[in-house]
Amino acid sequence: MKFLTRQEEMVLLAVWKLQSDAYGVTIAKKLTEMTGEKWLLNTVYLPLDRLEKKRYLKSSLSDPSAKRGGRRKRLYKLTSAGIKALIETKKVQESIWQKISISYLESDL
Amino acid sequence: MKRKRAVPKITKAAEWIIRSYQKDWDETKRGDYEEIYREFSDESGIMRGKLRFFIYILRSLVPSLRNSISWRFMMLHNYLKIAIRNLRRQKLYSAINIIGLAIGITSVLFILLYVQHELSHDRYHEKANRIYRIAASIRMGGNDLERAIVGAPTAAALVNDFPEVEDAVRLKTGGNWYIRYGDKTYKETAFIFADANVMEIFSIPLLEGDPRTALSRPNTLIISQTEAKKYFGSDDPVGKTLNLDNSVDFQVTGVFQDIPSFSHFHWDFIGSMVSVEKRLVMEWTSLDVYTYLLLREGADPEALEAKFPAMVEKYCDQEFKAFTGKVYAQLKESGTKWEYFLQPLTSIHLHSNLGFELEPNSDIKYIYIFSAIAIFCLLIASINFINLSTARSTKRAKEVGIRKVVGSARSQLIVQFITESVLMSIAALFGALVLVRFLQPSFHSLIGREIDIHFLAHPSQVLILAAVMVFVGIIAGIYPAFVLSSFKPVSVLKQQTKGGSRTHWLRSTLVVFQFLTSMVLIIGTLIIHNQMRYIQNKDLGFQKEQVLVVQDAFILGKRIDAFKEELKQNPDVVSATITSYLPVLSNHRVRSIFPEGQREEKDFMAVQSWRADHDFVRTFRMNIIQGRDFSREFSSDSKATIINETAANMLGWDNPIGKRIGVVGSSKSEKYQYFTVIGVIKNFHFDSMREVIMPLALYLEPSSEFLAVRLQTGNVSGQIDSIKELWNKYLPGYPFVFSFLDDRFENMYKSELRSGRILGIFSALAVIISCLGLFGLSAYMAEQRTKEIGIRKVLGATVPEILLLLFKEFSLLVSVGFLIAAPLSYFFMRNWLQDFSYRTSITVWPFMISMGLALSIALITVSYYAVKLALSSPAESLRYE
Repeated sequence: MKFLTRQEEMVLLAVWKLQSDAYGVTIAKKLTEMTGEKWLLNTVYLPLDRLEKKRYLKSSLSDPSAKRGGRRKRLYKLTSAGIKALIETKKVQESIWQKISISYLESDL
Repeated sequence: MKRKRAVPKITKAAEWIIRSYQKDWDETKRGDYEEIYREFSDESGIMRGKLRFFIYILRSLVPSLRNSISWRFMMLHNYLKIAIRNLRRQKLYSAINIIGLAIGITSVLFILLYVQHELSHDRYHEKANRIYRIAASIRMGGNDLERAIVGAPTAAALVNDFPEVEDAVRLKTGGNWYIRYGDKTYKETAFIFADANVMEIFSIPLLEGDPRTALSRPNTLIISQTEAKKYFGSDDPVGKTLNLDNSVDFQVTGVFQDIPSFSHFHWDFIGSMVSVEKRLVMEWTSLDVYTYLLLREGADPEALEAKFPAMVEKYCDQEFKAFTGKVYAQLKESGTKWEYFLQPLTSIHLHSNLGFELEPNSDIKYIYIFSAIAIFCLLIASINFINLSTARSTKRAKEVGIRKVVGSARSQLIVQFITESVLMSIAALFGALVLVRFLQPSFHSLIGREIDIHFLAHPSQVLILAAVMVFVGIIAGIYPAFVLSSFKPVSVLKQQTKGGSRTHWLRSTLVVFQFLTSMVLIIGTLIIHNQMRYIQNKDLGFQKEQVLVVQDAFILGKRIDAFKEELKQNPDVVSATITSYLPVLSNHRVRSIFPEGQREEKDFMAVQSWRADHDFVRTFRMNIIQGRDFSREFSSDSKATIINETAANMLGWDNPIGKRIGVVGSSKSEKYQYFTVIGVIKNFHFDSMREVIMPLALYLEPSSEFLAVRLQTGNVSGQIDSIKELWNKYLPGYPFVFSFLDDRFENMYKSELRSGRILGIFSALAVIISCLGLFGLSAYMAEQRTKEIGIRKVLGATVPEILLLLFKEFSLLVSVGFLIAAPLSYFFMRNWLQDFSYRTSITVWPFMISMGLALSIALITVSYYAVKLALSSPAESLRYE
């Protein structure tokens, strides 16, 4: 399988964490919260589109709510392929970071 | 939590910005943005919320912009790479296009320079748009005269009488002077006398001296920077004294910056008008000085012109009355006209062609002609481009097919092809700039002017040029781009495309157009050439060869007759005459004459009245057809005159010998003088052949600007040396300035000869460019028919038959071009010839020659490939695939 990019990995994680409330605004906020960097709407739309094309995500339209002035949301959900990809990524990460502690790296500074 | 406030809507402007970068804009995205907007206004109030949202949008723009730029850049890089590869692969084709375009652009650049130079004339004066020249339009004795000069009192009256005239300056030509400083003497011709306010009206910046007082005293002058250096070197010129003609001293009171080339006057010396005040005739009807007016801001020149007729009655009437006994209103009834008009300063150089201009002006007509030629050159080069690219389309069809199959959009293909043509046009631009740099001196001698090319290096001009080139590239590339990109991959890859009849038809039309333009230019050049030869060979009524003209003979003063007599001793000298009048556009003196006994105004005729001596007729070898020449044996000849045929006809005398003519005096003191006609001279041309021969009368009166010498045929330089030796004996240290009469004659037709030459060169260029295109096209066509020719040869066709086959198509195009070009150029050239009173008729030869030339060019270009193909073995050409 192909590896996820860092950005994809983070977006998938954010969607997973948000569970049933994952749409543009909340995903951007979650990512800002996770990374400490400002994520804008159009910077999340791009990876969301790409991940949907790769079938790691699927999207559905919510019912229109008065709160959003009658506009619907595009809600994202992980597919099983998406979850598998996350698991795989986590595994690879752990295996390459195995036995490497931060203090060990710092000793080489 | 229930919200009281309505959901804020995104404004139209904000939406427009967002949609410019946000793909797939839909309801959910709009909802997301609205949610963010709402959050902002909840947190920070409506106004600040708006601002924060706006900043948010702008921040979102940055990454998408960065993204699209880098993407476009990558594509551009790819387009360029492919374009360069293609140009390299098709060397002949690229070379033809680039060279053709480069030649076209070079001619455009030169003509652009020329036009810019011509149009910028006199605009450098700060007050240029308020300066006007007053000129006179006169009809007297049946002759219409338009003069750039007016009477000396006019300027003062205009300033006094009309509030809209702020100021006026008078200029009087100074003629030629021998100016001496220390041991240096030079002949100076660019000398003018001007009123003290000349520098307030024109922008003539003084480098030294005080502009307010420099020209206020008699016998003072200001001198141009270059001349100051010539006379005084590094010394301070102000306060130095210059001697004029060995008679008067002038003090230098200032140095002015050289007058730029784009001016309708170029003076080196400006003398104060008060120095010559005494010589000014203070009469309205004695045309004598140039008068330039400075109008007040916002004044209407047409309203001012409307007041001139009243001015004529107020001032000129008493002069008319003194001469003719009638006032202007009466004269007007008998057909006389005396009117004034204004010319804007900036229009003088291109639109004014009056009598007594300060310098010969140019003509707007040439600007139109040259611009048209430049555009044609560029057009022909662009046509080459279009023809060659569509012709070669089959070669590129496969590429297009493959590109389409692997997913290239049509727009990308179009951009690809246009990139190629823009690249070529830019390469051509660089070639053209190099050519301009090298050809600059030849161009200057061609147009007879120095033009500053530095403006080409000006950043704004470079930008304009680059823009023009991109434009030309796009124009030339757009048609081929659309044709090529429209190919369907399936048919292309199955090799079904054969150009199609539509592109073939277009190609033929364009080739016809090329031939047409070239032929029009060739015919025009030939007819101008014929007319020039006609003028040079026409019987002029005098012999222009073997006459040496010594200029400024008056400087000899009283010894001039002695000089002439001594000169006649020289065995090389046939005869010599002292006169100010030459039969080649020199001085003109028009006076009114009437047949004796008929002194009615209607009988007055304006006649050229020249002062001559006993040897005048003999020296120029003019023909007396009735009566006799002036003779020393008749002392009564001082009251005699010789008239030309036109004058005799106008006087209405069959046998004029012995009859008397009355001459209206030039001032009040001498009212009429009578002269007996002793001879009639055969008409001779003394004006340009554009004019009919005017009536003329010769009088035995002294005038001494020139000494004309008829020489024996023989060693010219030896003859000149011996005359110069004599001159130096009389006037040691004075420059001996001479010219030949036939050279002066040629000078009369300078502008025609020049435009003939320019037309010749540009038509040659146009022909070369179209040849290039034709060469490329024939190369392609021959290649296309390789197989066909192979089969024909196998079946027994001979080489000439094959040549004929290939040649037939082109000669058809040439013929069609000719059918259009012939009437077109006939029409243009007849129009041009109409300007000449004496002209050759248009013969069939120029047309035959241009047709023959076009055919042989087509033949030569086609045959190079055709011969190559026809001689090759059929086995090879059939194996070609």
